[in-house]
Amino acid sequence: MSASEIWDRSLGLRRMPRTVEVVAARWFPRVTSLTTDMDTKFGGVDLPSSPPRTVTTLENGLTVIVEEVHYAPVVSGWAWYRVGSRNEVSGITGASHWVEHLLFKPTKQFPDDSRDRQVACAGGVANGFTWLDETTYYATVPKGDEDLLFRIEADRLANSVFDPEVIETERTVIISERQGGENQPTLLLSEEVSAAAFRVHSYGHDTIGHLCDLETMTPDDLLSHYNRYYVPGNATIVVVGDCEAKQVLGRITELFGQILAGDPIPEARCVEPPQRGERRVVVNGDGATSYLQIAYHGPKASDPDFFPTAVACTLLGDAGSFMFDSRPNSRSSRLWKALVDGGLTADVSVSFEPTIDPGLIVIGTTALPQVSLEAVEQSVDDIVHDMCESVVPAAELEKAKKQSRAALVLGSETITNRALALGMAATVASLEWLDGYDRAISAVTTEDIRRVANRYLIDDNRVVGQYRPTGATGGRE
Amino acid sequence: MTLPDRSAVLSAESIDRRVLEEGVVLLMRRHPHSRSVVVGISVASGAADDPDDRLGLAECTAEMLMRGSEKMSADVLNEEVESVGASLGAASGLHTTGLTATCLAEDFSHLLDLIEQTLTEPKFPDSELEKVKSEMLTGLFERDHDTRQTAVMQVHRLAYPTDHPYSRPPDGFFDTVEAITRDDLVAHHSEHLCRRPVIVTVVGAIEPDEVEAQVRTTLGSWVAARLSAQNTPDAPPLSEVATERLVIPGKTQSDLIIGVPGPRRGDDDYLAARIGNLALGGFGLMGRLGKVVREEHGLAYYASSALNGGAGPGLWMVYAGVDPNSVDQVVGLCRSEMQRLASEPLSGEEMDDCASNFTGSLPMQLESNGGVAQTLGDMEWYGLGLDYVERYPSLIRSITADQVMETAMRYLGQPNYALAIAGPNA
Repeated sequence: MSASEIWDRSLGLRRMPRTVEVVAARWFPRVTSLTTDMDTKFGGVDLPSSPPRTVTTLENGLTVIVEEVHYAPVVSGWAWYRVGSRNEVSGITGASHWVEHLLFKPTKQFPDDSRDRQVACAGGVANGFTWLDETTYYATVPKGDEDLLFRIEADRLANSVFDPEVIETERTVIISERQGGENQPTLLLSEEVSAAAFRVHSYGHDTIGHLCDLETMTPDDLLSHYNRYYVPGNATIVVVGDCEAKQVLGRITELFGQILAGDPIPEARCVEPPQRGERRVVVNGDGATSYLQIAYHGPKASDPDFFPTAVACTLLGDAGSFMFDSRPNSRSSRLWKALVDGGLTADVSVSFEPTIDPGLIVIGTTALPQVSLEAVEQSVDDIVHDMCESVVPAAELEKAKKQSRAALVLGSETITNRALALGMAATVASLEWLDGYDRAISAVTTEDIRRVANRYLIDDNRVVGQYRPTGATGGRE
Repeated sequence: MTLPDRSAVLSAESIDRRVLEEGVVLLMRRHPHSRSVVVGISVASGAADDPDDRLGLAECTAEMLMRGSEKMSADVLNEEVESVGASLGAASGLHTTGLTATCLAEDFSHLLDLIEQTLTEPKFPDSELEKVKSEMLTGLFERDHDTRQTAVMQVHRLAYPTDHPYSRPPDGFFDTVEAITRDDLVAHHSEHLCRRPVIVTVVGAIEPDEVEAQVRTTLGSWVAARLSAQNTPDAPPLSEVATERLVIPGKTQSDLIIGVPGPRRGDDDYLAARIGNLALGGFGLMGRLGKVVREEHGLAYYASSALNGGAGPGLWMVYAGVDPNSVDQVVGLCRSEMQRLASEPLSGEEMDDCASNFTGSLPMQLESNGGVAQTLGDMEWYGLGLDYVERYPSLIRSITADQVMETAMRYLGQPNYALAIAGPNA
């Protein structure tokens, strides 16, 4: 972290914290449970057993995952909904995110700011986020206060209020959030790159939504989005921490079991057709710094190619962790050596996230002054083409595999992050996917790397985006 | 699987503190259920010590620690770290420079060897220095076109006297970064990093006696008696309302910051200021500021406050990101809340809420090895005592609403303040 980041940290934007309270229903639906207790091997070393896990599906379709972890007196509770920008079409882009904001507003059970207040008084942290495939709400609280989390989430699922006046106030807040993003050149560029990459699929628009939709969406649009996707069968509750699974399950069943199952969720039908040639986009904007983003269509999380592709990304420049606060070193990666050590760019990142439908592998860099984007792109091409043509040395592959596994193990050491990993896996793939992560990464071969490189990391399958600065400078008014 | 609840409180008894030499302290905490170890080495020297004509030197030196030693090139170092899935990074702040490493327990000794390489015998090759300077200059170009970073820089310039280290950006200016030479790095390393007080924190799956022996053996002569840390000067109250509005073309949102020099971490009124700051911009959804600016008026995605007191009188500031046409209205709302905090005592309920938040959040702060390491470092740097976490709830509960109001009056309630706004033309 640079000094400027430390200086700036106090201004760090955070997603809005919030949280809740609910009525208990004296009704216990029949449940089916599966308890597992897995061992994990890491780097040839036996690690402590994974904590016992209970997975339950209530009769109304709600999935509940509980892991008991008793080494810290903390409980993290999450509600995951399988809805995000993937489920939006033109006219209602940004609806999932807007609904997320509204689900932090007062309800009958939690009037005024009582939800935030109760979590804050417990010393807890609460928050939510919306992304491509999911909208999630979470809070981590000291042991003993977890009942508050369950009441909050049950209320959120069943009793949220869509007050037109509140929706109007929130409209300007969300537009302000979008404007804050527009101040960042890299976000302006990534918005264009995603739009160029997906001409059919809804991954093509940012989660925040188009400005015209934010200006025109109606309360009815938002309410119908909520009614459609916020049903038990589309949700997963994840609880990890210093708690007793049986007690947690009983309480969740009591609170959530009475909520009606609702209608089946319409499946997102858009399928992105194969790209048949390189696409290029240019964003001209203020400043003096040039940015390059190259995005390749990649495999979805549940595709067997996901794991070798993740290792390929580690070889290129990122250890592929999707945990909070976990970004392992990647200074021995191929792109770091070529671009940063090579004196062309100030940084390099490779992002590849697990998604329900095929997402993007994005290489992002910031060019040094006096270095052309063409020179940076050529260097990236050399590295990527080499991965397609040559066999990766065995030792380099082993290092990348260990990095990928370490990112997941070290990144999920905190209770909050462990709950994040479970919820994300259950939402975009499956718990088996997460449990098999280490094994699948270990099984990747040099031939796998070459195969996925030639399938995904090819020019015809990519979008090249350039941010070209106009050099405009500011001054005092 | 029920394990003993060992992390409930960071008690003095659970902390192992050893003074290796004058000014060299080793702090350890064992976490037997963790799979990893976090190592932090923090030296009492940072950007505040940079000469005016070499601003950015501390940051540059920290990064150059990672760019090769006498025995090991940067390439080899990176391979050694990453081949075991570990992370190792160097960074500087205003008053400290340090290394942080995270690794699996089995690789701790290996990481300590690599830390020794980076800390004690850096090579500072000219070729790497040129690259690091280019990277820093790129950061400065970005900073100058970033509304938030620009506002942060300007509000510090306005709030502190020109000869105060906090008036200067720690990442420097174009000419001061350009001017840095290898000789500057060598001098900074020998005169600051090797001579100022140092704290080594090791948290996780460790055995303290073994760790001490390894630290003594590995870091060897670097663990030698040290001089005391340099003091940071006081900052006088502002003598006028100092305002700066900067236009950055092409932007859609303005960032505004209102600030004044606040208390130091060790000052008697620091905890009262923390409670006031929590009520103002932190409690629940960004405190009173979030409620008024965001929830009631819908004028901003964020509006909050921060108290930055540390070794010196860091800025106590209120900040928001707003539509350019709403800047003056939001400044008015923020000033009104600052004045309210300084003129009306918090209610008994608000005081209780804030105290509950501070004490209730301790288990979360101490959940991870990194969080414990950070807390141990703060306790040592600011002389809070090893039993600070145990005393913390009663310390917080002992603060009265009048103390909070009087403290707010001393800082936020004064008629003069610094205001920086950066964004497009309204």
